[in-house]
Amino acid sequence: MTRVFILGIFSSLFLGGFCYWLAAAPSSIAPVPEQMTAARMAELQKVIRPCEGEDAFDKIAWLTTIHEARVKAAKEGKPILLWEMDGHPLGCG
Amino acid sequence: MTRADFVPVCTDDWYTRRRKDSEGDFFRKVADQSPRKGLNGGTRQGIYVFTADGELLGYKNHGGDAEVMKKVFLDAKAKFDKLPESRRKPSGVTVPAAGKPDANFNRILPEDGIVLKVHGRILEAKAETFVKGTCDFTGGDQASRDYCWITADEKKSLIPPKAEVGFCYALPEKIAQRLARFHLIDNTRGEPEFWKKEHVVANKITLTVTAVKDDAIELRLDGEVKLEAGPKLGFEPKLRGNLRYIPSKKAFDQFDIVALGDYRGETTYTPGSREGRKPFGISIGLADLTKPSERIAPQGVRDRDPYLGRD
Repeated sequence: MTRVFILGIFSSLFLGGFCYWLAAAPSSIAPVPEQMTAARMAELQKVIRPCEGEDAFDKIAWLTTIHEARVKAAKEGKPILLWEMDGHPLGCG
Repeated sequence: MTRADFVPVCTDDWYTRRRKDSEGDFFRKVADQSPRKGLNGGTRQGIYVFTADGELLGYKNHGGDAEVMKKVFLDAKAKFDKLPESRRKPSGVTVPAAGKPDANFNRILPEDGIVLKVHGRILEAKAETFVKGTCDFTGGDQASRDYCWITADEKKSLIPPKAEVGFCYALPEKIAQRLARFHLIDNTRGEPEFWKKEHVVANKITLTVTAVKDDAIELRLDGEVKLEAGPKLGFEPKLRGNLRYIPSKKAFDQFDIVALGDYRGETTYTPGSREGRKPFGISIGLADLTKPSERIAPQGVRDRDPYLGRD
């Protein structure tokens, strides 16, 4: 939950927008298909993967080591913004 | 505020706070200036703003709202702007070369292997298909994100021993176990506990050659997996995938897999699951390694031996 919240903050502060999908489907137990056809697979990929705007934080050019960030920050004369989390912010859920 | 004001970086505190190398030493030097001193080796997670030579300018633990975070960033930037020009001008600070990384807390991308991007999402049945699910947990309806690493040797083991349409063979054991234990998991609400070996009740995944062309071998992946950690925690997905191997490049240029099944339960750090058995989907595809963010380690590889099938 923390990651989702922080992602929202970074996205809104850095990118000025954040997309939340609100599906209107009724809750029910799913019948798992006997056969997953190629067409169904393509359809599911589209549903499961992040929708437009959902991964807005991904548009930020995050570096992934502090050393790389220090080198870049020193070269460009900027401060470093470190997002430090138990579980990588870009890939733990 | 714009992206141009800062150099943004993310790291996994589980590694960084433990590293006994220049990366870890520098981070601890910065973190020690904050309230987050990591007593007894505890977490140091949070948002830090600091200079390239290690002066902390701002800190906020996770929490608060966007306006609070914005103020932290603006205050930190104001502090930076008041530093002597010699420390904030381009190339004003010299950063020493990175030392040898601590092998215990550094994970290296498998050279010449395969990196897959893995997304999971809660789903709901609607008519004959599935749509994005909804839940009460804030953000729990969004896609999760992780990476799966396959080593160079494991990649070789994926190549069909017989390039003949209809030839069917088992997905190599190590890869099948890795997928089941570390990637067929609901991580949409936080860090999950991974499946243990004994939780893998069934794991039958096969590859079938569907086409042999001059420059490509196409494969279909089919699978059924049953994961169970007691009556209240389990997942029973079916898998379907399309893979394409390019012999001239010794590489796969397609590696798409979808897993779909009913999921039940939650673990310590993934509370807020939906009641009962609910549909859950996982989509796997090749990562874009030109992006640093897609070269990060899979969550499961913290415990290297189980992840690599050495347990």
